[in-house]
Amino acid sequence: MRKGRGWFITGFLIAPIVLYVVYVLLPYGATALFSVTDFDGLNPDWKIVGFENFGNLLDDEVFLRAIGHNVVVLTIFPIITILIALFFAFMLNVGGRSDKAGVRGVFGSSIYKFIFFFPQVMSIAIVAVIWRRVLQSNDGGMLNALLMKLGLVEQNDPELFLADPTPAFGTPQIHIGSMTLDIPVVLVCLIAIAVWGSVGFYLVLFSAAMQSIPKDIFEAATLDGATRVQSFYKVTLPLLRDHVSVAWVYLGIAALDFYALVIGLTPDPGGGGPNHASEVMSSVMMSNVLRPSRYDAFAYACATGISIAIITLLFAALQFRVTRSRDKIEF
Amino acid sequence: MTVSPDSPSDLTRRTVLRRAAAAGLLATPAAGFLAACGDDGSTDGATGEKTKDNPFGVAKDKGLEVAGFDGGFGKDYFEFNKTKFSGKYGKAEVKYSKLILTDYQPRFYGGNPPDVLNNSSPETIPVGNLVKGDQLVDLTELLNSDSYDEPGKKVKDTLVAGTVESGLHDGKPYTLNYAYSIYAHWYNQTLFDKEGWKAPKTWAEFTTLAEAAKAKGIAAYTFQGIHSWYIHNVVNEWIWKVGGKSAIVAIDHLEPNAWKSEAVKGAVEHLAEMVGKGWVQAGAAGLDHTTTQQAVIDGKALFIWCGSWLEGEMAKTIGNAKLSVAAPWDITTADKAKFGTIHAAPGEGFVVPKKAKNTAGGLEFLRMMLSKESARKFAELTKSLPVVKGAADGLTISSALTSASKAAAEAPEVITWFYEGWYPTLQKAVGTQATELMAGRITPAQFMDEVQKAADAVAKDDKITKQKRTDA
Repeated sequence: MRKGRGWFITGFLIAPIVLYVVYVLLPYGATALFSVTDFDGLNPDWKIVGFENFGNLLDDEVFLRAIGHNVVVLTIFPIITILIALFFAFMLNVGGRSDKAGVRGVFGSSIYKFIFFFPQVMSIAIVAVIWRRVLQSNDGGMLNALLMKLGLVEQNDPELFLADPTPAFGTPQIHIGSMTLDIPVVLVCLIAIAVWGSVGFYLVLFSAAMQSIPKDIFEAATLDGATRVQSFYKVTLPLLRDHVSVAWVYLGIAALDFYALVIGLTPDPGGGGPNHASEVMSSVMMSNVLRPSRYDAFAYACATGISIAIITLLFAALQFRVTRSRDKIEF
Repeated sequence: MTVSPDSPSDLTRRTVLRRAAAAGLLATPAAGFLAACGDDGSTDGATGEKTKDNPFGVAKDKGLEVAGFDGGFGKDYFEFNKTKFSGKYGKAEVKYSKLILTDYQPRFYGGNPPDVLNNSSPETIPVGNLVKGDQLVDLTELLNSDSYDEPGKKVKDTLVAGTVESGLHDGKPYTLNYAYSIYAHWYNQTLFDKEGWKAPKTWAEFTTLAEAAKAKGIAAYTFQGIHSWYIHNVVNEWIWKVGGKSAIVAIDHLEPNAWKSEAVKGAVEHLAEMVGKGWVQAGAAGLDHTTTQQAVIDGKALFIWCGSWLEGEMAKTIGNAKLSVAAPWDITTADKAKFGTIHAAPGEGFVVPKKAKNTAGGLEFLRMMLSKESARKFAELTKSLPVVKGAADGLTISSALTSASKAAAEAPEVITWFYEGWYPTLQKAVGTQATELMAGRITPAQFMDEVQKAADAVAKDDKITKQKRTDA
């Protein structure tokens, strides 16, 4: 009987396990293997060359700058998204006037929820098309046209936005060895678009979490004379700590990727422009695969991919360690 | 010498061996060993009898797999050639792809590539790697065979000058480029006629024209901003115009300080002058190709550099505007290349993979594509020129294309460079730095420094295989 059950379970698991092994584990393994070879993706006569490709990565100015860009995105993007999502979620759920009906969101909160969530249902390709039009660098661009009407931008000197590699808001360019750390305007534009696209999802996540907090806690706080700001910081935020930390990890991983936005919105073949100002780790990797210069560019791209995986794993481990939940609050 | 398939010279070492093996005169292992030493690729399987009409010995009904790129030239010309091929040799099949590299990389790795591959698309398979792995058929056999229509005339003699050279790698023809594009600056003839303007021949004339346009609120110049490949062409053309062929050859050969020559300086300083004088369309650096090309059609900008596909590409929005091409005007007063020098180059490469099942069929398919009928059909269907001489004679495709081909035919010199295909990183560096220059963010001196740095990096990288021009 027991043995029969084992076979029964295996029968159900075999298909997903085979799929997982063939389409996930084997490619991972192959990438790891190719990263230490001179494989060019075309000829089966490759040989092992050791960690040379990884060594080259440490001298690759474009890749090092791309890491810097990922770090910038990783620092700015999750914080802004979480803050905005938290604020909106609070306003939509408990930020409204409290009267006889008890605690509730601001007027029309269900409509706002729909509007904020909307970017989430659009494919990244559509997002790219929309934002390319909004940020177009002449009077045909929505934002430029508006700024020109307001007299903030000259007709013959429009803002370049996505084609502007100069440092945003006068931020400095820091050079450490062959690594450059900078925050170009184009990267700030991408972060803004990513925030716009992500807030809706985390708003819904935090909303659900807030709704699971018993209303009487908020009512008690209100009765004790807590203002909205106080009840946000003293009640909502501590009770949402687990959700915020999950959001942080998700957003962090998205920040380390960022490929779709870069390829969809930025100049130069394969994205990452102008002049590498919006290059992220994954776009550098793909450029090596699709527009190879060195004959073993495929192996080099594999080494890049493995490096990205290692960096992402380190980040996730660090994140879980920092935000490891201590005493759980039960309600 | 014309090699006729029936003449004794056709009895090459390999054919002898094959026939001998077939007759059982050679033990199988020895035949296999010797056949493996063959160098023309048609080692695989049974082939048909080689005749005058069938010079590669295509076996009937063996099946042919053609990998076509579904891009700007469309599918129609493939379908035409497919029908033509299958009428003679039985079934043929064309599989279309929009991403040649992604779709066909595994097939080369797996040793089961298609019989003929249209190695185009934004992401092409690097020919150098295939050659290194001995995966491509040397097309000399095709080029030396009889042309499809005229027995006694070799295929290579039916092609426009430069076609064979454009497909060389390590001095051997592995790629056959099929489309012949003419590149130049385009302008709106309708607007020019209305204003009584003429295409400039010298920088002074261009200056006058640019100032006149500026007074009317029209930008004299625009470029396809976010696609830096376009402006990189202007840089090269102007370098050739100012410094002559030797300046470009030095660049192709990665010679030290090739990017610091007087020719380069002259070219980029004039690009910078256009920016400095406010002649370049505002915000062009952030716009895409269709937006900027439309600006010329709409009369918002005078000149844009593009290939002869421009009219086809903009067909939907061109309206009544009539476009014309201008040969590169004199940049300095001491240009080495004469006025009328034009940039024209074959593109849209085809290769025959060596490990394919039907390499003879692949070669024959290409020979058929180069026939008069197919070439003419290509011109009709795609509104572009093929590499076959005189293919579009008598066809009225468009007035601009006709004038462009006339200009190319009369050109005292044809501008070409090779580093773009050989060293993609250098091409990208030139494009991005030229965009920086056109956006007014760097000076000509910085441009030359940055590009020279990129060229030096390529020169000293031993993982990048170096090439030499055969026409230098």
